[in-house]
Amino acid sequence: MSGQAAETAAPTPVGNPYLAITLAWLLPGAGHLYLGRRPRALVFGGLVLTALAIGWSLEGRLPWVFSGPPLAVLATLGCLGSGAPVLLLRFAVGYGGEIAAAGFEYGSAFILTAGLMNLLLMLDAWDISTGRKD
Amino acid sequence: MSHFLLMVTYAGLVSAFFALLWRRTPRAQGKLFLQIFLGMVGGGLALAWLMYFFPSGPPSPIP
Repeated sequence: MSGQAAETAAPTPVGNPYLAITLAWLLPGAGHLYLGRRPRALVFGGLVLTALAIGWSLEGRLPWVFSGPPLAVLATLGCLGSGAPVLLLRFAVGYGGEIAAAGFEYGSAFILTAGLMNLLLMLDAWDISTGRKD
Repeated sequence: MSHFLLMVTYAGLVSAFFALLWRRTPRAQGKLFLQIFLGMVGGGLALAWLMYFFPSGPPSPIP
């Protein structure tokens, strides 16, 4: 009976959820690392950063639009989901994409997807931290 | 990289991400990975094949 109870027990909250999502945004995988989920942190961080690196290598678009067409603003916010790596690309490297590049469209999809995946990772880190998920 | 290889790479990354995010056991992760991966690649190929019947026509003249 006690074994059954232990199996069905809700996951216990760990860490500070606000710190977890902030870290998860800053560096993909860092939120899970903070919560003690090292293997998941490495795999998820690797997937997001790989997608971003492929998008960069294909010279996809890194949008930077905060007013104007709503879809462009949403794309900017989506890409910003990757956190510090995107800010580094934008401000340290001066990257914005090359529309004449052969891989521009694919690269744009990879960069946007990396940001959106990291936004989901932030939610996952929040759920783990608040005890909604193991 | 070719379009096909890029499509497969993209499908692989996205499938792996969601399989690991949404499932806990390796068996369930593998199953979901295959479902998403094959859905994306197969769907892309099916769409590309359907587009064969609707050619885009000659390119528009450069002004």
